Parts: sequence; C-alpha cells; structure tokens
Amino acid sequence: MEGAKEVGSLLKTNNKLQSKFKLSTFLISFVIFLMGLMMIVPFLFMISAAFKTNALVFAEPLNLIPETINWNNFQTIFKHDYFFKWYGNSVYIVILTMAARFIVVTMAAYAFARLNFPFKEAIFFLFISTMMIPPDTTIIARYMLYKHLHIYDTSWALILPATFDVFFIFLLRQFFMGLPKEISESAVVDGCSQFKIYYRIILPLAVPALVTMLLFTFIWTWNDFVNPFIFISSIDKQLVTVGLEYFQQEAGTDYALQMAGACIIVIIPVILFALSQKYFIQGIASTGIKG
Amino acid sequence: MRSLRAMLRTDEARAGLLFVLPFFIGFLTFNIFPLIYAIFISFVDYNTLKPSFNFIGFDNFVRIFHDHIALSAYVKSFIYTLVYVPGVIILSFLLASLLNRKFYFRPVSRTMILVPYVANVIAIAMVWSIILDPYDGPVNALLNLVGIDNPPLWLGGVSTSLPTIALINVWQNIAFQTIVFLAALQGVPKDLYEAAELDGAGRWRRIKHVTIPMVSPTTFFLIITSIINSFQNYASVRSLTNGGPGVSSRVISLNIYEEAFTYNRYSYAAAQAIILFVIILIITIIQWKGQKKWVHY
Amino acid sequence: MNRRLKLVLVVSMLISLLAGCGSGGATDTNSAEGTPNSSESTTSTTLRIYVDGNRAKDSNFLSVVEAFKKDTGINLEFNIVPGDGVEIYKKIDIELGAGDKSTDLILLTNPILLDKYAKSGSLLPLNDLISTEKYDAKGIFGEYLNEYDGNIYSLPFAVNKWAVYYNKKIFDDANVPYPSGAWTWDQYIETAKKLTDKDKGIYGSYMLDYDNYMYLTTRQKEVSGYKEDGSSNYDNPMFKDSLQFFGDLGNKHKIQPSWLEFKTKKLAWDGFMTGKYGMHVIGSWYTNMFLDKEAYPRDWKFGMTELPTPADGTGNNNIGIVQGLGINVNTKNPKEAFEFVKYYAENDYKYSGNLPAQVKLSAEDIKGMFQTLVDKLDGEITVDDINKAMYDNNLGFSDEKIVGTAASEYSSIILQESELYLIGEKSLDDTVKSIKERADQAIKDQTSK
Repeated sequence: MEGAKEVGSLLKTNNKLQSKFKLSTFLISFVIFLMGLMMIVPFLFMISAAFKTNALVFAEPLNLIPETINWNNFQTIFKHDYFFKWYGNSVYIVILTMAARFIVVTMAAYAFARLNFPFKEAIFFLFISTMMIPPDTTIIARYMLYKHLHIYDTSWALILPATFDVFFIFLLRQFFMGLPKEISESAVVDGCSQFKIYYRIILPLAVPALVTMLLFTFIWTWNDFVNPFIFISSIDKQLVTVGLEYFQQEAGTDYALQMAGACIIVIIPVILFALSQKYFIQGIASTGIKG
Repeated sequence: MRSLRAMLRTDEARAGLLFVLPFFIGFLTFNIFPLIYAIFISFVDYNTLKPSFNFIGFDNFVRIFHDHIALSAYVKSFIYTLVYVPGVIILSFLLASLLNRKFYFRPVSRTMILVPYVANVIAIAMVWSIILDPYDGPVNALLNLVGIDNPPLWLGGVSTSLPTIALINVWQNIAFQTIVFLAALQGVPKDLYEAAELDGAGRWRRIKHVTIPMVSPTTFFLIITSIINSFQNYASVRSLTNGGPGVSSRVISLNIYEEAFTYNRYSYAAAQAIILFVIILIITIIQWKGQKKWVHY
Repeated sequence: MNRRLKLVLVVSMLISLLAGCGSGGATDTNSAEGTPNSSESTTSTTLRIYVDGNRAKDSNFLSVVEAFKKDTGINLEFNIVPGDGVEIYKKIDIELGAGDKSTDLILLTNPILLDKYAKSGSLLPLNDLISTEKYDAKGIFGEYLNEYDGNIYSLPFAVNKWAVYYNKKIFDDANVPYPSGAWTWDQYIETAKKLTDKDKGIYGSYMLDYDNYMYLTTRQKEVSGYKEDGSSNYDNPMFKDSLQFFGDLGNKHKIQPSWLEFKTKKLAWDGFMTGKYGMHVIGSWYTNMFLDKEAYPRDWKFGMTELPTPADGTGNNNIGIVQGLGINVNTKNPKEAFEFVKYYAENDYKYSGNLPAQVKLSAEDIKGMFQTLVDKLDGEITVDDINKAMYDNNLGFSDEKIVGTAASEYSSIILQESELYLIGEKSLDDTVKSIKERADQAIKDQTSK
C-alpha cells in the first residue's frame, strides 16, 4: 500500500517533468519510431518472400509486393499431416521447459545470491564453467546419455537438459544480489522461513528479471533446432522448427517455403515481445523499497 | 546473540544446500557428464565415424599447434569478440536507457526495435546482403556519392567479412542485452536520481554515478556471457559467409563444428573445444577477480 | 520442520521427473525398433530406410517401394530425417557411429558419402550375398559398380550426368541458333557472349559454387586428384588451367556472374529458373526442376544439349556421379535388405526418370524411359534431345568429384583456396600451391591414423 502510493506520486512528478519538455519528447518518440521501422525491414522481406515462388526470392528481393501473390507455400505447410501436431508439440515442450526451469533455476539462484553455504563460490564457478564448452562438442555424449536414460526420442530429451540451465541462474543471481540485504535479515528476525523469503519477498521484487528469463526461455526453446533435430527421431514427436525441414529437398533450399514457415513460427514470439514490454516500466519492481 | 548467529548460519547453510540440490542433481547428469566425456575423448583417437577409444595422450592437442587453419580460427574468434562484445554492451546500455524513458508509442516502438532478435537468420542474411551488396547496394552507393572510390566489399572482402559479421550480430542480438538492462534499470530506486538531481548532477553525472554502479551486477553478467557466446556463435557465420571468403571469417566454433560433423574427427574437435574452454575460463577468472573493483552488489 | 516438508517436496518432484523419463523410455524403444504393426503378418520382415522429407513424399519413389513390397512381400518403412541432402547425413552419421541398428538401408547420393561410410566400416560388404546368390553385379552395372579393396558396399541405382540446359527465349531474342551436337568450351563462351545483355540483366551463362566447377575441365580429361603415391595431384598444371578457365568466365569474359557477385548477392542454386540466364551447366537432376511449374512458373521453354569439351580434344568426357544404395553393417535383416538394394538398383529408373547405372540396357529401353519424361514435360523437349545430351554422343564418362583419401577435407580446401583466387586475393600459382600443400597434409593426417 505504502509502496503503491509512493509509486503513484513518483509517476506524477515524472509526468510534470515530461510535460515541460513536450517537444523534445515528441522528437525523441519520432526518432525512436523511425529506428523501429528500420529494424523491422527483415520481417517485411520474410513476409514478402513467403508469398513468392522460390525462383523469385533472391531474383527480385527488392520487389516487396510480388506481382502475383503465391499462397502455395502456406498451403503446402498447412496441408502437411503433421504440421499442427508439430506446433502443438512445440507449445507443450516450451511450456513444460519454462515451468520446470522457473522452479529449479529461481531456487538455485536464490541460494547462490542470498544464502551462505559451504563451497558456494566454487560450486557456482563450476556451474558457470560448463557454459564454456561449445554445446556441439557434447552432442554425441548427450546422444548416448539420453539413449541410456531411455529419454531419446521423447520430449524429456528436450525438457530435462533445458531445465538445468546455468545461464539464467547467473542472471537471476546477479539480480537477487542487487536487492538490499536488510530485507531478508529483518524477515529472518520476524521468523520467516527461507522458503517464504524466496517466495514472498525476493521473487515479487525481481519481476522484470523473471519476465526476462521466461521470455527468452520461450524464444530459445521455441527456436531451438539442433536439439530436436538430433534427439527426436519420430516424425510425429518433432517440433515445428525442425518439422519445416521435412519440406526441404536434396538439391537445395526452398527459401520461399522456409520463409512462409518462419512467418508462422515467429508470430508467437513477436506477440510475447509486445506483451512483455509492460513489465519493463519504471515502478513495476523495487521502487518503493528503501535503496 | 553469538549462538543465535551461529545457528542461523547453519540453518542458512542447510537451506542453501536444499535450494541448490534439485538443480545440482540435474546438473551433474546433463551438464557435467557431457563435459567429462568431451575431456575424455580429446585424449583418444575417435577421429573417424566409428568410435575408437585408444588413448593417445596429447596428440590431438599437439596437432592443433601445427594446424594453421585452427590456430588462425582462434585468432579470428578473438577479433570477433573484440568487436562484438564492446559493441553489444555499450549500444545495448544506451538503447535501454533510451527506451526506458517516457515517449509516445512506447510499446509499439520498443517491440519494433527489439523484434529482429526473432527474425529468421536467412531473412537477415538476405537483407544484409542486399544492403551491403558491393555492386549496387545502398551503402556503397552512398559511399560512392561522398567520394569514396574503393568502398569496402563488406561480407565479400577478406579483411572486412569478420568485423561485418560481428556488427550484424550486434544489430541482431542487441535485444537480449537491452531487455536485461531494461530489467535492471527498473531496479534502480528513483530517489537516488532525485537525490542526485538535488545535488545538481546533470544527466551524464547521474548516469555515471547512479545508473552505472546500480546496474553493474547486470553489466558483469552480460559481459561474461556475451564473451562466452561470442566464442561459440557459428550459426550466423554459416548463414552469412560460411567462413569465407577463403577462411577469412572461419571462427573457431565453426571450425570445431566442421571438424566434428563434416570430417567426423570427434576427438580432434573435442581437443579444439577444450582449448577454447580453457581460454574462456581464463578470461572469465580474470574478470571474476576484477569484479571487486567495479561491481557493486 | 518446515524445512523437512520442503525436502519431501523437492524429492517428490525429482522422482516424478525421473518417473516421467522411465515411462517415456518405454514407448521410445518400441518405436525405434520398428516393431511390425499388428496388421502385418508376423512372418514378414520390415526394413527401414533413411530418406529425407521430400523423397518420402515423392510419388516416383513411393511407386518403386510399393512395387517392391508387392513383388517380394517384404515391408519397407521410412526413417524420415528432416533437412536437405547434406544436413540429413549429420544425423545419420551420429546414428551409424553409435552402432544404431534401427535402420537397415542408406541412400548414398554422392560418392563421397559412399567413400566415408565404406571406409569407416559402417556399410555391410555385399560380396558374400552376391556370391551365394550368384548375382551378376558386374554384368549388370559394369563400370558403375564401386569396389573398395575388392569389397562391394553398394549397388548403383542412378548415374547423374551433366548437360547444358538453355533458355530458348533468350536465344531467340538474341537471334542465336540453339546449340546442338559436339562443341568446345570456346564455342560455349562465344555463344554466351552473344546472349549476355547487361542492360536487360541477362547473362549468357550460369554456374554454381560447387567444388567441381573449379576443376571441371580437369575431370573431363580424367585426371585424378591423387598421384600414384596417394598425395595430392593439384600441382598438375591441368588443375591450374581449369581453375583459371572457371575464373575467366565471370571475371574476364563476363558471361556469368563473377564469384564475388555470386557470393555477395547470394545468388541461388536454382537461379537459372528465374529466366535471366541463357545457359546453365549442371547435372541431369535439373530436368525435374522444369516439371515443377508451381514453384517455378515460367514463360519460356528450355532445351538441353551435351556438355562442351576442352578445345584441345584431350577431354572428351561428360562428368557425373553414380548414386548407390548400401546396407547398415549392423542390420538384422541382411538378406531382405539386399533384396531391396537389388530391386531398387535395377528398377528405379523405370519410375524416377533417373538415368540407370546399368550397362546392359538396350537403346530401346533408354528411349522408352526418356519417353515417360518427355510426356510429363508436355513435349517441351524431344526424346532425341535428351538422348543426344546424355547417351547418343561421343562423350565418355568420368567422375565429377575428387573421391579418395580425405575427400571431404580436400573438397573444402579446394573451395576455400580457389575462392581467394576467384576474388583476386591470391595469385593462381599460390592458390594451387596451397591447395596441394593443405591437401597433402589432410591426406597424411588421414592415412597416419
């Protein structure tokens, strides 16, 4: 309550400041908007190529609106027996990965950031060091491991390894460490358990960081190609990114079809990008808490 | 009081281990085992399609030092990192600061600026090859106009391909670093700015004395992970130049990938990866030791 | 006590995760082993073959498979690997390397694959099966049959020869007569010059960025990539000449996009279909491109003629590759798998339009085969056109690729180094010299193991 009031008053003073420099704000808005327009050029090409025939994709790339709109690429994709199955598989895997990673990673990050236990630094550094080996080097090891664990060609071969992700532990640890020490200390004195501190205090204060993790977990898992390509072999268990590769032929890439596929794949991440923006606004997290 | 502290400490230790335990078990299986395997095969002769596990000591490592292509690939990765990491960190910080202020159409503009991150790599390669087309691309046309007779070949030039790729990657990947910085900026208490303003600090001084120290844990994270990723990124190199012209943009991660999956020299590829691992490890340790100087938790 | 509860929670979560893996695993082994469907009779064997997504849907391929099932009573399933013709072998490599038994048959669509799998012991030697069945492999396939130290690892199902495809509209517009019959590369260049029209954005010729364009004329002369002692033969001046020849087409004669233009503009493998090029030197698989009018709508007709030859008359050969079919060395059904290998090698051409890699076929057989193709193309070209481009000419046959020790490295080295010459970064002599040196090193590394 106190916090909310404070945030409100902060926003108000902010508005006063802004209204003084309205013209400059307008100019900046305009410049930023222009930048945005430039950044989405690749999307225009993607969409335009998706409606072309393959021969014309590279032959006339500057013709953004093709003379004849070609729906065949989308038809081919939508007509495939497994396309919707693949899409569903991707959604399923991404959601499970996000959920499992959220639980495991936030807990570990909390411990590394805010608790003291033996060998903490050493263990953490060991974790980080595993990021330094190029993942391709271990593909064969992982292939054999998953076969032995009997998770090869199942969704677990994608979900489990992705759950234990060092990258985001590191990210969250940095964020959690930045939160004032006094919060947990006073909570402990009040008799709060560590789990309660983690769950009730730390997580709510780190919403932007958590949204970052979830957003990029979604994008990376959604766009992942290598793992499903190697570790899933049944066509009906495949994910949509790899699934689109079933349309490729021996001789060379059908870029028009690939772009149509890319357009379909990219819709959800774009929507998430747009929706997540509201979590990166001043006042969402630790404002109102003593700095 | 003292005994209470001690109790808290052991309690805390127990809770800490418990919180880490689920991760640790999975980590041993899915991260440590493959790492140990990679170290193991770098000492055997698994250099054909058929597995072979004869111990050959450091032969794979010695061979790297006679392999000019591999050695120069390490150097290229290093150059790539030198261009990419400062570029992406500085620009993403500036971009995040810009996007964090109030402006009109904020949600729309922000989304448009960040969204190339999810664009298809081939679409990106296509767009940049049009923009940087040395024959009739807009960039070189502009350079011609201002009187530069021999504009660079960009992706087609031996000396320009690598930095060009690095800059294209800065452009594409910047969304991640920017969003992380944006998230960090939300955690900077407003009253610190206000206090600084009352002290008469200008915009630049506020950034220097409030923002930069306050987001330093995030900056530290971004620098370390960006360096690691920059040494491992080959997907965009493959789609932009595939290492060419010649081997001018053949970075070490691409070399490792080709050794393993085109030539099936798994042990040799693993040895190259282990050396890369050691290089990154050393860089990271140096940064880890150095963080006391500038990272404020 | 609260903490104890948490421990229980964590442990139960882990158990549930692990339990999940267990049950997932059970279904996995089922599908991977390819257990026969309940609808199948229990006695019939089911074979599996690696195919890409496109082939799995290719009606020609499906007809051969159906005919095989009907004729032999053996069932054949597909292990469909996503990706294009290169990408799928990355996955097949991993599975074969791990000794996977689930898939019996491997298509070897180029000789470098055959070389790699044969030498790594991933393929089943067919000699025993051939001799017990008294199968006349040599009689049927003749020069197209590949042997490694006396072992046969595959039977060839198709030979992919090269030809010149041309765009009749561009010839008509430039008032140039269509090429036909024997011709030299000089004549090709002259023709292409007449067709090239920079203002209209038309080039007379089009070639891609495959390694074998760099040494095309050398292969026409059947000069090997290796010397007697196994080292690289790239110091043979013919390789230098052929690289210079290829470079000149774009850089000096300007009849086709230069290498730099090709790369920086990202010109496509199917660029000829855009109708902006007069002639295209490419393998005969390209004929199928003209069948697909949905992906490649065009308002022009194509023609085809034989590959030009070096002017000095020493290289009267067409080039091409032999495509084969081999068996996983770990197969559980060698006999049945061999049945399919034989069947496919003998009959594929009847369905697919691929040129058969057989030596006993009569001229009538061949013409009949071309007739099917011509019918599908609505008579855009005649049986005679194809026959003259492919068979009824004075050209011999030689392998388009350099196949032998460290073939994949050799190929990459040639591409990497030649590129530097083609964009003017390295002199011709330095280029062939460094190809020779690097290839020798690669060969040495390979053989010393």
